Amino acid sequence: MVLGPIDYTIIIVYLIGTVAFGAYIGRKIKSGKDYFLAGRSLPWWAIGMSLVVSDIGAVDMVGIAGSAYLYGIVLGNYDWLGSVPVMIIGAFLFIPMFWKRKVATIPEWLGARYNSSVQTTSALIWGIYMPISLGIILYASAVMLNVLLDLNPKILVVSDEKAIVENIAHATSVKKYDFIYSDTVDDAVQKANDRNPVIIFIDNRISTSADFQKLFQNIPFVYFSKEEVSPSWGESNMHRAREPDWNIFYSIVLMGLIIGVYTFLGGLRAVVYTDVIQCIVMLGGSLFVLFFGIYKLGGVTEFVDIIGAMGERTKDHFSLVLPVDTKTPHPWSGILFGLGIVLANAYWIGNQAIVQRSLGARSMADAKASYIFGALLKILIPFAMVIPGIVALAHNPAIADADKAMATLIKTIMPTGLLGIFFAAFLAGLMSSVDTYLNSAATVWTTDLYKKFIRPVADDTHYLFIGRLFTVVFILVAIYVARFATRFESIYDLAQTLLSFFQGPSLAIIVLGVLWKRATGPGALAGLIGGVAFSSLLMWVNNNATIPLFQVSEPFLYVALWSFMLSLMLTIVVSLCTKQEPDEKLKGLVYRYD
Amino acid sequence: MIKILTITFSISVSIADTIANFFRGPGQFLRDILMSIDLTIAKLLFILYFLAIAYWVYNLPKSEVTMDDVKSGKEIDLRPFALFAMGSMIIIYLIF
Repeated sequence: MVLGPIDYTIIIVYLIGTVAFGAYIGRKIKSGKDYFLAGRSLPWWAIGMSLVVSDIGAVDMVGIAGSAYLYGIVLGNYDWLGSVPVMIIGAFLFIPMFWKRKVATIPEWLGARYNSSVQTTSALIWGIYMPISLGIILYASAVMLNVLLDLNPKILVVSDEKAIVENIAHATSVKKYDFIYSDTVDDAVQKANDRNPVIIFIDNRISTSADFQKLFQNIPFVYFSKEEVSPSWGESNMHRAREPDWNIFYSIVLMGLIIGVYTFLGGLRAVVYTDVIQCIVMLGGSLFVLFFGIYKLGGVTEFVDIIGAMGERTKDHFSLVLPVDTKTPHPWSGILFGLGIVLANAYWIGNQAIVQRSLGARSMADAKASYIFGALLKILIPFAMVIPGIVALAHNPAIADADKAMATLIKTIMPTGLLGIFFAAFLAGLMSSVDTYLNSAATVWTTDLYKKFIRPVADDTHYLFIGRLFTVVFILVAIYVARFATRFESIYDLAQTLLSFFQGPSLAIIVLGVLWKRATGPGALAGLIGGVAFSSLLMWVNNNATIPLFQVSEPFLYVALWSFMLSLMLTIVVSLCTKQEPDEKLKGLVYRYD
Repeated sequence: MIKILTITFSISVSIADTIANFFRGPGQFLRDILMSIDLTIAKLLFILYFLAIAYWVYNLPKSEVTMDDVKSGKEIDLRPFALFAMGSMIIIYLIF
């Protein structure tokens, strides 16, 4: 994607504006309560927008459109079924229970409802997961940044056979590089000058006589024959490549520092209010891409006709409900039971990073209204994130890497100047996810671990200092983990899988805690630990058995569902075998029991 | 060393296979039931889920669905907004 001066101006103004805004808001921070809960002063509309934008990371902006390019509107389930109903349930049932208790974190509420062991176990799970996850989000966002801005190092392949590019891509490292193809020397010289590749591979059938050294100046080149292309060949020759102009680590550090500064200064208040701006920019930018993309196709009817004419490939592209044996990872059974009943509830009701902003609401009514407003906004999200992926398919049906669908669409339809707006929207998505986890990790470590085990009694300004200290530590950890993640790309999938391990069990003990007076501390602890162990067992069996246990490639929806069920059962059985919590303790913690 | 690793690997595979076989029977049974459900019925289940939530919201007591606006002090009813959201879901799932 080629950005013009106007685009860069928009991006720089946006970034400086965000940091300045965060710093401005940070002036009012005087205590830990201000920092972690924005002094309980947040209005419903700000929280609602923040909830929505925090749920959509930069990875989602590119990845969801990419998946929609492949599988169609079924991805919309993650926002519609996966958010709207559960946000309504959360608004009237769970969020008021948390807010009423005046807690700063979900583990803190669990401590009040059950006991200290449940609080600590839950805090440790979130406290460890969030800083690691931060690094992974940063890394994954930097990867997407490179894809979107075309920053990946380029490899130029000169051959009369285009299929050889794929072999070389596998022989080197597909994800780290972009490949450019030329079938003549003249074209290769032109492309080498324009795209500045890190290395050039020249098929010795093309030419071995031209003076390439002169033609390609400082770019190293290697002659190859089709037969010798293999991973060991790729590895040995890639050592000869020159250093790329842009290192992915620069993106990681740059974004980490910008987000770190405004989160450090402004705490939750800065996170939420910068999210408001990010929500407007992101929704505006994405909806603009949608309308402009459909307009360029001739209108909605033409768009639907083009997709319909693609035959078997797109027969389910406008279906939200796909068969159990679908080849996509989104069968209706997993979507309805795994996503709708477990993961969605776990995310909107039990995810500390999400729930925290509603705990900072200025009143219980605002806390409820924020979730309703968020649900209404969520109805729009698939139009902004999913359908553009299908629009990209209508414009360019032959994109090899689906993750590049959005970037290609934008490059195809957007004029210079508007590219800057979309890129700012992308940065907004990136920043909103990272700031959320950063602030939340600092809150859990300060409130549930530091305050509980190291210094239970101190002035509130001391906890402000500790919260800020954790913010600095975690952004540095995130940058370090992100660097580490560049060597282990599957770490992102691992983090997603880890999340599904404990989301089901966490939800089970929250649901029973709110709805069932008889649930006890030992029951919840057994349910939490047993559920996490069961998820791990299921995943281990699935990965190690000769025939996988689950018949879908990414079974996280089913793992979450079964671990939730087991946690429910364990909590109920152990609770019934242990002494009931005193009625006095349960007042205000169980639904309609005041 | 390689021998130990090979033995460990084969033991873990056989343990995993044993556990997988234990779960496979009930799992396949459930899968068969789900497979036998027609897609139209499946879609109906989604819509019933939305209807159930809408019904629950509709029946909530007034005190749980109203809020006082901080600035004007006026009472705002959240129920219509929640019902609108669920109604939108039903329409969307009927269309797609």
